[in-house]
Amino acid sequence: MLRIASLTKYYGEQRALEDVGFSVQEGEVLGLIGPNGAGKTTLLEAIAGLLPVDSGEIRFHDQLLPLRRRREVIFYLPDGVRPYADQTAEQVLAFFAGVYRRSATEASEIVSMVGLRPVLAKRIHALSKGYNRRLLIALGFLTRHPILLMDEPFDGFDLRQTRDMMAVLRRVASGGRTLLLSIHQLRDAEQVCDRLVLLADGRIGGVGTLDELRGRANRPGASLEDVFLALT
Amino acid sequence: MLSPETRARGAPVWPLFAKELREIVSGRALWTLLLLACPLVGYSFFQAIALYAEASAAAVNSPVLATSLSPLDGILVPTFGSFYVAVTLLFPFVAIRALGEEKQSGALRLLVQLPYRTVTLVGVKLAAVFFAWLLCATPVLSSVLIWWMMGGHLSSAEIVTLFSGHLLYGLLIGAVALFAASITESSATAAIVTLAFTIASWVLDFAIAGRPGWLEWFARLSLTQVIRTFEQGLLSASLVAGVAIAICAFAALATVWLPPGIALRHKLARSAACVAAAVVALLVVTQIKASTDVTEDRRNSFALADAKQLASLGGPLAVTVHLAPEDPRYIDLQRNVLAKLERVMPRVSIRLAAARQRFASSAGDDAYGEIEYRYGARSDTSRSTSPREILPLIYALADVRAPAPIPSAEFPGYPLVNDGVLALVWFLTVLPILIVLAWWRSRRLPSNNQMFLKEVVMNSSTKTLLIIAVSVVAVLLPAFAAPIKVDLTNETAGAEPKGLVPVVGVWRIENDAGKKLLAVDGRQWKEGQSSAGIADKARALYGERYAEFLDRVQAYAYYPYVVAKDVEDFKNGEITVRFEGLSGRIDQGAGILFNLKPNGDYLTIRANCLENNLVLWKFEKGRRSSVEWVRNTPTASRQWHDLKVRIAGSRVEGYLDGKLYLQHTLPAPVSGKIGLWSKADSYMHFDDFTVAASE
Repeated sequence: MLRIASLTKYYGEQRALEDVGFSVQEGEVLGLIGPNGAGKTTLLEAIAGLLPVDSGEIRFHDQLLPLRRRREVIFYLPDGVRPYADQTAEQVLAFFAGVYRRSATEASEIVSMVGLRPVLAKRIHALSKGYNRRLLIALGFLTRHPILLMDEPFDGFDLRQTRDMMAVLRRVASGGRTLLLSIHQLRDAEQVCDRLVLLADGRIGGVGTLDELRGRANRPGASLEDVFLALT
Repeated sequence: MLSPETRARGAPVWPLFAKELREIVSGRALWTLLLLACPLVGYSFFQAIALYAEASAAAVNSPVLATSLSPLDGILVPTFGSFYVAVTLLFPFVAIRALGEEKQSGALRLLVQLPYRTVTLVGVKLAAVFFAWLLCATPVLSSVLIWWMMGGHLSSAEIVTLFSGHLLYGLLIGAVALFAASITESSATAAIVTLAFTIASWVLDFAIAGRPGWLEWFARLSLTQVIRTFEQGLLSASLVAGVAIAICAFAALATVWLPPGIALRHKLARSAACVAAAVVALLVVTQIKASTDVTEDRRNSFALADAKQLASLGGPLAVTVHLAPEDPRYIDLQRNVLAKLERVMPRVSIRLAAARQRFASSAGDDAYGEIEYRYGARSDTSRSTSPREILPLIYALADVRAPAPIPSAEFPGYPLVNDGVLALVWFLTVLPILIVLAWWRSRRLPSNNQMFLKEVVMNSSTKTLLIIAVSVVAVLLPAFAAPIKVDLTNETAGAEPKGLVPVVGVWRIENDAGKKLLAVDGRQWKEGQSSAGIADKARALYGERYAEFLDRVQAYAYYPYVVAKDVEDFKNGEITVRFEGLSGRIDQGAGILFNLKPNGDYLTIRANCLENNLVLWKFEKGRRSSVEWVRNTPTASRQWHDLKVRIAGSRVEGYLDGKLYLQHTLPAPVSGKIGLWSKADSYMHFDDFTVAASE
């Protein structure tokens, strides 16, 4: 469905991404795994077209996806954003629902699904980190893009909340939407992702299911953490 | 191929616009500006009223002194001037919020992914900035209303022009702020960039304006210059187009710099293209010479006869001025003569021979101070800066006679003595309280979260905005009340009008080239009389006063009129109508009837295509008598003319083709029904009968 090939990005002399390439299937939850500074956010922003790259291409259903058409297919939810801090959650959700012509029923379902209803009347700046994360995820669900990129979607959640949100994401993926998640908590990635892309120092260390990566690392039954350390 | 459903290019703009409005209204900058503008505008307004009252006190009984009292100069310009200061220093903080907050919070990365073109995003932000400016203008607009309520005179053309100038200036500041926010990472930096721009422009204006050479040219780039022409009551097409281009250029630059995914070199190349296109467009619009003098006292124009005469001179006039640009004589000449010549004559070129010369170093130059006028092969020199000396010189060069003056209503001046206490109360107590209440309401959280149970897009902030907007409109409405226009489209051709009640005469709807018009047809009446020739005889006997003679001949006392159904009691406001004289040997009269009492008494101001005069007639107990008579009002037959009556209490003004000819103060205020009027054998067409009543 989506193929990224030879993506390279430099910040001046410093390499951020080098020859990055992988593909994503429809309805798949693909995890982008790597330590802080590995280039996960840079990669997501480059795919979304929010960051100019030095080289590389992105194809959607085998057709080249130029920058100006990227936003028709891909929607990216950045980390650390508190959109429109002086407005209420309800207002921000209504804005996105209006833009994407979501009916009241659809919007209400999404609000319930991510558990935002208790804070709808609160201003964004007053939301906890977890609820702000839920808001961003809800905004992503309100869009109609087939591919959602999420930067650290579980950041700010406790263990139970993370489990619940994983179930929500799985449900959305089973509905046909493709999710590309940047996750630094390997345990979380192991549980929610169909396949994994291991990224370290701007380079791909491996792509595949956990079993495939275990095979490549010759570590049968090893945890993702061990596999990651072996392959990167 | 991409799925069509993902191509959401047709996304509605309203949610985006509503979001932008909420962003601006939820910030403190807007409310702070409004609160600061209250004392700033209020004090300027109060001071202006006090000075105006002082000057008026001496002018109340002196028509000569009164002619120098124009509310535009005395009240509006100083009051709007204080608003200009607020806009220059504070409005950037309001406008920057439209983009700066999103950049700072990271929300911009969400925004640019929405299914809108970047130009739409910037366009909607600029529209929100426009709305914010309108809200910020509430104090200054309220000052206009207060002036009107105090009995002050207002000229709608002057107000609209002045308001347009400030609006363009506000939008320009808004566009600069958007551009600054697009190139900087934080709102604070964007504010510094914008303020550097506006304050530098301000400094530029007063620090180097009037200096010779390139400094003079540089000073013309000042944003402050934008306002000045509008303040002088001059609506210049090239200035309006130039400012519009500058606004579009800054918005276009913001569009170039907004998207984050584009390489710097591409942004620089596109910016260069934008700037180049703007420069070319600006050079083109500087060639546009059209401008309109909207002032009531025609301060930017020569006398009517001179203007007509000069406009008819086809040859080129070359003026060479031997004066330094900062010389006060040059400033006088420019204001009194050169600017007016450029406006009225088709081919004028002005050269400043002493452009590089300093005023202080001109002592030894004998030619310094001379102004040479060359028309065709003839030339002459003068040192005068007065049109009274220069215009005869130009006529002599062109070998034409100085025109006979065209009689026109002189600017009467509008003195008003008022202590302005109402203004102080409004600006220092009532308006700030209203603003704080509106602010408080905009900050209120919604009481429930039922949004997703029903299709509600409107939220509390939007409601607050609407309430403020409706309040402003409601407050201003009485001053600019929507006029009632008598609609003839549903009338039947050949039948009597349904919206008007014919009382005397033959009134019917006629079809003229597909358009329905109201006609009064006195031809049948004429045919029924055997003595039509008496009118010619009376004219030979009594000249212009023949009508008075005819009034005493009972057969000619025939005054058709219709009455407007929907106007019960007209006391203040304007009544306008367009008319065309088709035929009539005795009369081709078209009048506006008002003050119609139940006993049949009424007043009418009428024009006449056969007599070229405008007369206020009084009808009491069936007898007609003239109240005010103005001669030499050109009213050609077979041409459409505009007739207007403006009434303020007992004060009556009569306008023909936009020009004030007749003024009269009645012994009692006007009150009664209104209508249209004609006379004798007149066959006339009427159209666009409009009534704008004010309380």
